[in-house]
Amino acid sequence: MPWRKTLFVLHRDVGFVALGLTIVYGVSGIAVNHRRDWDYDRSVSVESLSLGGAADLVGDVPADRRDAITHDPTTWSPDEEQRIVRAIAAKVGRPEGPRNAFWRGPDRFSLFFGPGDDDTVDYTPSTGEAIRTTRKDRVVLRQMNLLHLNKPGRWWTWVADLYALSLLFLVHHPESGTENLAR
Amino acid sequence: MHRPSLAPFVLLPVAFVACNAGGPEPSAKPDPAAVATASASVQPVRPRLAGADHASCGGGETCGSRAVEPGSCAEAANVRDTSFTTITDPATGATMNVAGQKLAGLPVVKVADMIARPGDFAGKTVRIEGDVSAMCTHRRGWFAVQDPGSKTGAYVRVLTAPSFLVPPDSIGKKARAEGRVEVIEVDPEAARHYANDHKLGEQNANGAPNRSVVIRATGAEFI
Repeated sequence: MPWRKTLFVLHRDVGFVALGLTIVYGVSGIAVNHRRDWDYDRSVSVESLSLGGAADLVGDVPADRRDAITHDPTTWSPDEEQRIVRAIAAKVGRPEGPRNAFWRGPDRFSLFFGPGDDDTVDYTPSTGEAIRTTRKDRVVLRQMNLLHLNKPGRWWTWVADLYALSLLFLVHHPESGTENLAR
Repeated sequence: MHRPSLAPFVLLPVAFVACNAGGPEPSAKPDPAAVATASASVQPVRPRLAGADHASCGGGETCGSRAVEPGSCAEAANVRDTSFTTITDPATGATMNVAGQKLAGLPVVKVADMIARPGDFAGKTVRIEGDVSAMCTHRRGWFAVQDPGSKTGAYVRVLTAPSFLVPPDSIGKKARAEGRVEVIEVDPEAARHYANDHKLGEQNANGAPNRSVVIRATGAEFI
């Protein structure tokens, strides 16, 4: 019968679409399922750095200032702070300097290099240590997550609905679906 | 003989377009036309509210069947992504992202004062200015702001959901925001999340409920 061939072709094409979307939803589903264990959109790299004491970073200062700079960051003058920022930037290979730098805690001086928190350095004056954190979007997986979590909204909602309906269509195939079970 | 399938040729472009239509990307350059627009003429669109989306809160955020903390990432899950506007700040000449309602120009209140005397500010509408030290990156439902030049790390969280969403990549920027001051009780698990994942309020990490000063914002600017 002619409708049978049409249905077969339609089933095959819908199957291809459903296959692709099933991969997207399946892979992203596993990724998002473990959201408590990892950042499913971005990979994070954390590097410990030993930058030295603040007095060493600030450069040429009198001996009495060195002690104050080392033990009490609240006494840093704006000029000394800028010199420390430049020294840290140079040590992490970003001599152009950060786009912003401020204290996110009494012993946590943060420098922001990339957009957002993509490339940050948290300097700890009391130890001279620093943590450099870089974040990058996960290739392909982030796009899959966008679709899975319906971030585009609007018309993607309809595409996702059609996908769900296509799954219902597929389970009703006359040869391999539920009708076959009834034979 | 089988007719060739067009399905892959339909699916791939659809997926590609969808991935690139999800609002401004973090690294998106400001639209020159938008930059040229005067801030006074900007009227950001209030986001439409959508149905509950419990797909994910990310970062160990509370979600699902839990009670949703006001301003948490979970609450932001109910907000459809909104288009913030990129314009030129008339005060500084810098490019800035504007979200929510236009700021009314209220007097600035310091974060340190709000934390020291929350009772004096609770229920009042205030304006704060400072540095963005943290934000909810997955749901973009809040950001933390601290006084400019402060070396204490003291902050208040500015809750933006459901009014608007924080523009991506706002951490490290300077922000101005206006909204109503509230004193809320933070869920212990949420407090642990803020402490562990956002490095905010380590004193909240003991598992005990903690009261926190927050601002429920109506609008904000990120420079």
